[in-house]
Amino acid sequence: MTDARPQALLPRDLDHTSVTDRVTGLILEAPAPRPWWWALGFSLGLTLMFLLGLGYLLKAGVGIFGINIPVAWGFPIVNTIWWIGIAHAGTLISAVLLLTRQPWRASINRLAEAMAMFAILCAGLYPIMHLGRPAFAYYLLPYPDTLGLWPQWRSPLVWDFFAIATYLVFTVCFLYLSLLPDFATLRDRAKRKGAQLFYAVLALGWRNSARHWARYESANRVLALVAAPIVVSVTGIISLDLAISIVPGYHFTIFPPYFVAGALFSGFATVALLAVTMRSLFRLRDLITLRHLDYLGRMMLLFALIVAYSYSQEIFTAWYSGEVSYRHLYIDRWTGPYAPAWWAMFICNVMLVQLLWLRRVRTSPTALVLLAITSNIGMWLERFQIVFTSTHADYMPSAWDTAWPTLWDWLLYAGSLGLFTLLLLIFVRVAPVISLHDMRSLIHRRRPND
Amino acid sequence: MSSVKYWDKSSLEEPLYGKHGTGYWRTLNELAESAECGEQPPGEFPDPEYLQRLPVSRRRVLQLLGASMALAGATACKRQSPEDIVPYVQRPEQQVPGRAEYYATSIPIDGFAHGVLAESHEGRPTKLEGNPDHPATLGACDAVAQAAVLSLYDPDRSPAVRREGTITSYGALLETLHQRQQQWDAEQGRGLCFLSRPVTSPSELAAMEHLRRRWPKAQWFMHDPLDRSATYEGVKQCFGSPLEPVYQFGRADLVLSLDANFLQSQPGALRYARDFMARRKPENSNASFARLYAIESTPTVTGAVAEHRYGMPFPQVEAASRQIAQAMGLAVKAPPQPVLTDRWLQALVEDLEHHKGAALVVPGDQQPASVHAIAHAINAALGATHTLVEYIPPAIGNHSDPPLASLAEAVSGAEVESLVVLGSNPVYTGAADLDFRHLYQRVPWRLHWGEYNDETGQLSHWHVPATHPLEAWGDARAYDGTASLVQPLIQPLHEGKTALQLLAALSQATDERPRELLQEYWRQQSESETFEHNWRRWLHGGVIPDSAPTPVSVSLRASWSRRLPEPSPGAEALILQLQPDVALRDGHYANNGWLQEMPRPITTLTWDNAALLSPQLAKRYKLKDGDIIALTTAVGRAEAPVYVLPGQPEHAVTLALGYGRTYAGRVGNAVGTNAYTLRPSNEPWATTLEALTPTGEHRTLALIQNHHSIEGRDLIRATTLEDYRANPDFAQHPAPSKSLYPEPGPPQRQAEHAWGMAIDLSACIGCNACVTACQAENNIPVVGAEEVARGHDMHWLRVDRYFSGSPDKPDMVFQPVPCMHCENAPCEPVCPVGATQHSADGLNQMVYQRCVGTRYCSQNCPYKVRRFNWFDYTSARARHPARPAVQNPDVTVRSRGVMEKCTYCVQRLNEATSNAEAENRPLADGEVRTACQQSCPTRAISFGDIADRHSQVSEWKSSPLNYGMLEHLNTRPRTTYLAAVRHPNPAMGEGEP
Repeated sequence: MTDARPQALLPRDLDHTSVTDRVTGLILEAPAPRPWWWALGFSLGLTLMFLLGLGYLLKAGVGIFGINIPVAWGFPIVNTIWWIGIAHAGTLISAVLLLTRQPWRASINRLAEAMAMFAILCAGLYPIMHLGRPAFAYYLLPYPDTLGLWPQWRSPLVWDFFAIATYLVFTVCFLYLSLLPDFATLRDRAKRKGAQLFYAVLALGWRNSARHWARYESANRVLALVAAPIVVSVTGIISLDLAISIVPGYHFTIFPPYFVAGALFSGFATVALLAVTMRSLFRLRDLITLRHLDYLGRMMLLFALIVAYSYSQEIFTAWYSGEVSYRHLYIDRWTGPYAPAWWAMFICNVMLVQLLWLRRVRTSPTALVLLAITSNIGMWLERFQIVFTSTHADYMPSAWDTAWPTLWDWLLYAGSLGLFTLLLLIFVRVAPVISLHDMRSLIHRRRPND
Repeated sequence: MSSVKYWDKSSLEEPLYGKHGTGYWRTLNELAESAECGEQPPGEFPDPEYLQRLPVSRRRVLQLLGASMALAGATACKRQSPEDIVPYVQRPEQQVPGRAEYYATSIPIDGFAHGVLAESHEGRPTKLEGNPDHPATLGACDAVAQAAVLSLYDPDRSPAVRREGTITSYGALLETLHQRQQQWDAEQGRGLCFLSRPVTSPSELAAMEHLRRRWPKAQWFMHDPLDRSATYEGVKQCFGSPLEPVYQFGRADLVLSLDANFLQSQPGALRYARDFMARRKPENSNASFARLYAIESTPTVTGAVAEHRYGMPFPQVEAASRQIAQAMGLAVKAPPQPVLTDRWLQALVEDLEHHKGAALVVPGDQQPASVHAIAHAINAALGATHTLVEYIPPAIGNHSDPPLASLAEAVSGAEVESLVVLGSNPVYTGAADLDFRHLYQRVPWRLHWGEYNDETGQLSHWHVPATHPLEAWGDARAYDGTASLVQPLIQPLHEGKTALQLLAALSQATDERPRELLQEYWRQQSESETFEHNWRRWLHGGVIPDSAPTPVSVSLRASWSRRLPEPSPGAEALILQLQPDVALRDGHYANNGWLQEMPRPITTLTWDNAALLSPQLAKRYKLKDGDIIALTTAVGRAEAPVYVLPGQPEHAVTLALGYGRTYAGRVGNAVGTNAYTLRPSNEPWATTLEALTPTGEHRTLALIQNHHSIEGRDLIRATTLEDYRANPDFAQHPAPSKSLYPEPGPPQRQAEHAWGMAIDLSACIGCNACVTACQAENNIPVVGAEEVARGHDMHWLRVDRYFSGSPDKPDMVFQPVPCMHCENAPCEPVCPVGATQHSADGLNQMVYQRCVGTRYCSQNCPYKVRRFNWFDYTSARARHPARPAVQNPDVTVRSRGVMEKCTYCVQRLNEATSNAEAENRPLADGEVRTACQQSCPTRAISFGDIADRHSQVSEWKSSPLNYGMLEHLNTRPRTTYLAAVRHPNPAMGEGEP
């Protein structure tokens, strides 16, 4: 878009009826577009592969992953952090942008929340898969054990467990709450008996009364207020898994803010990716506009800069500590067996994102999708190199060893991508992909010149 | 059954085929009538005549059914030995279920007895410890002897007598032998040959002597793949008769090793290591500190301990010894090319002269006779003869029998009619040029007696299983000639026969009782009235007192040097050096998982015998660890992976014997490369390598340690004796500053004991005996080569080895690393379920039942001593299933998905403390010993109560040499180290090895 004036967030001709018609029509009337079926088939295949991998993992044990002593943490940890990061932007867009009354959030917040929801599901599966004895994962719960045993509260993994569980509960509530009025709309518009019944149950008797709206608004606001601290604390706590330890490369005090920024960076990148995909898949170019993409690009750039700053501080700390293991760690990250991962991460997260300074890039869907993909790859590599390089060569040179992912590592990673896509694809056919009530209120409050 | 034909479905369909209309039939029989069915089944009530004609009558079927039912339970039965076995009616005195009993016995390794105490749980041997009263072990136990208990339960041990591969009875063999004996008697044994392993057993030698006398024309051969004939030959050159040198390292101030790995591989190594390292105590300022020079062809633990190590290819060791002898004024021809630098030679010789009377030269077993002769002559010149080295009649009684090559000649000459192979495996261990596999099959009658139905057993007409030493009656002599008894701890698990039983069968064709045969021999050696008493004493003590021969008085023959071969010009060609494997020896122990997985000292390689290449050679051929190369010698070609070893002589490639077995069993088959295929019989230990060709293939080596440099980290503290005397506190680095937070330390923890360990780096020789001891004591699973290569090894204790200096002349240091039992353990607070906890007495404990396997503890362990059960390593489904019978019942067998680590042998601590409590007495220092501590040949590990200020470990810890590893992390390790002190010769300049 070479327009001097930014593109409007809303098409001029859009009114309450037409937006409702279009969005509900996607679910209730229009047959699924052919690419949707292709994507569904593909992601279903990946999901089945995921289940196969999961089955073999439970049968054989975590030895199928390419981890060892000293690198006892591998893909499951990398993937947990990565998925949680992706989830974060979803929550943040809905909550922070709501609280700060950003008008551009309306058409992408639903997508973001759904993404958050499914990303957490994927993230939550990995810690269980990571365990040597997954059947006993409930030992982390504070349940009244006959032996009087409790989890060990000093361990960040327990905090982690609660953080992820809280986040999951919160996201379910938040997403569902925002869906309630839309489910009611769908219930009212559905023509088939089955659909009516389905949405009637989901709508929980929403009658669009002022009292409902008042309660909805206050609940939404409370959840949104809770969201920001949750977003910060969840990733912060996950970063503490690493930062609390004494492992060089894990033990950095900068980790909590650094991880939050990284999470938001990858999260915004994923929202951008989904937004571009959905707008072309469901022809929503007028609802998800280039201006939205421009904003997403700006957010990506902002958090990428914070991430880059964190990298520099990490390196500075390693040097300034004077500790031989920390200094060696960085030399090893740059020149050791995992150096390609570090440099690829650096290119993706620090160099390529600088293109987002250009508005041409921010408003080009193709460029944005490409940068979103490289950013997500970069953020995945960031977690990979943190988890793998830190223990592979820490204090005892005699114990140094490398660990390389196996086929099962990759298969379960690809499988979780499939699961995520599958859930999202089903979601967009069941629930409105754009928040109807938010759009309507946006139209309602539209100023003449906007 | 062939006489009866039954109808089948197709025969019934046939009559219908091609018929039109409705062909009615009433019964299948009627339908089948038209089919070509010889005999139809009769109707419902067949006539009796028909039943008579059936091959099995109804009555018979019922009889068989009934008998099968009645005897179904009998299939689990086994014919028990005729000796009385009576269940306990009254419990024997002192036998408490759950409490182990110890019996003294011996394990022969390469023929030489290792005195052990076998731990037995309810009649089931589970662990071997060194016998403190036995001169060869003094309470220590090396890995090979430790692992014998695993071999006892090896399911691949030969279970039964076989005739041409089919299981038969021992009686059938005796019958055959009876016939054969008449034939042999008639011809005085012409055409009968015996091939034996090296035998030290006095009773066995006597039985062999009996056979020799009975059949004087029978020929006897002795095959020792770890050929020690040069040792005897060298002594013979010097003193006129073949004798066994026995060294007294306890009296030596200076030792020069001429390619002798006397700390690990030679007979008596355990004792030698103990004696020698006891002479290297830096704290003991009154005594001198023994110095070691090592000239060696392959880096070994002996070279690693040495102050001055000179690496050179195997053939040059002779040249070096000539140089030394010449410099000492002995009349020896000089080598055409000097190999030692002048400065090194001069410093060494001056040092030797200076220590006259307390200096000792030790030649390597594998080195040629000339090196031995020169070494003994130097010893004579140094006045070491009779004081530092004594000569005794060889314990190996059949050492003078001709070798396998002579047997091969006899077979080629068709002189051999019958061949009896006694405990040897010549088809596998024979040198390649003998082609014994084919020759053996040309012998018309072949009998093999051995523990395994191995390569030789497979090609024999008769195979008789041998008993394992833990189920056998026997005897053996140690390196110094001391005899000890071998007593069984368990009935033979299979139909094994002891050596004496087999020799008795050969002579009388009867099945004798093994104990009686042994007693019969020793009764003759003892006064009859005291025999019963003595016998019990010998069995109890594990040693037959005063059985060691008195040293022979020798004097150097004037002509000794004239018998030396002409010095040969050192060829520049590549040399292939073969060496006995420190774990598998000649390959006999290949089916033992503990030994396969024991990290080989220096290389830390497991499950493989890599070709050891110098860094320069590897660079020239562009090879790295794991690249497969083809080695060609004059007699054969073999492929082996490369391991680039700093310190390896540039033009020498070393390959260990004992691998590449085909009939070792499920563990040892196809592990590594068979080095015998490269071995010529005339040059058994070093031969010219005709070609070294990279194949372009690669395989990941199962290495325990992948990084070899210490990276300048402050993990090992070491200095010279001089520096230590001047600056005793060199190992004391500034302590970490106090934490801002209250932390649990010993004062806050209220307990009777505070366990701690100290490891003396000056004493550790890196032999890895402790690793196998730990594995045996703590039920550590064997995981296999693939798992080790993936970093999934399970040893709780590892011996770290670091190189320093230049890659061609590196220094090596060893550091055993068990769990540090940090007082402020980083692993404890991070476990989300509290599965690792601190005990009041200072143990960092693992609660396996609680562990969910997050592996956070391992991530946070700076010492990386925790091990994880990545897969199911123990059950019957595992790749190397644990043998339930050998498991220590006091230690949990861990399941999949849990973390484990060194416990300081908590089961031993608990047993000792509860015993002391029951007897209402304080626990004595030294009463409880960890498995690693107990097995250590050099007493490098001290363990005990650090709350007791007079305990040995407290004394060690109060030494200025004591330091904690990575103390700056504020972990406060309970396992600490005593800094290493060495005693280099100051005259040896910089840059000299």
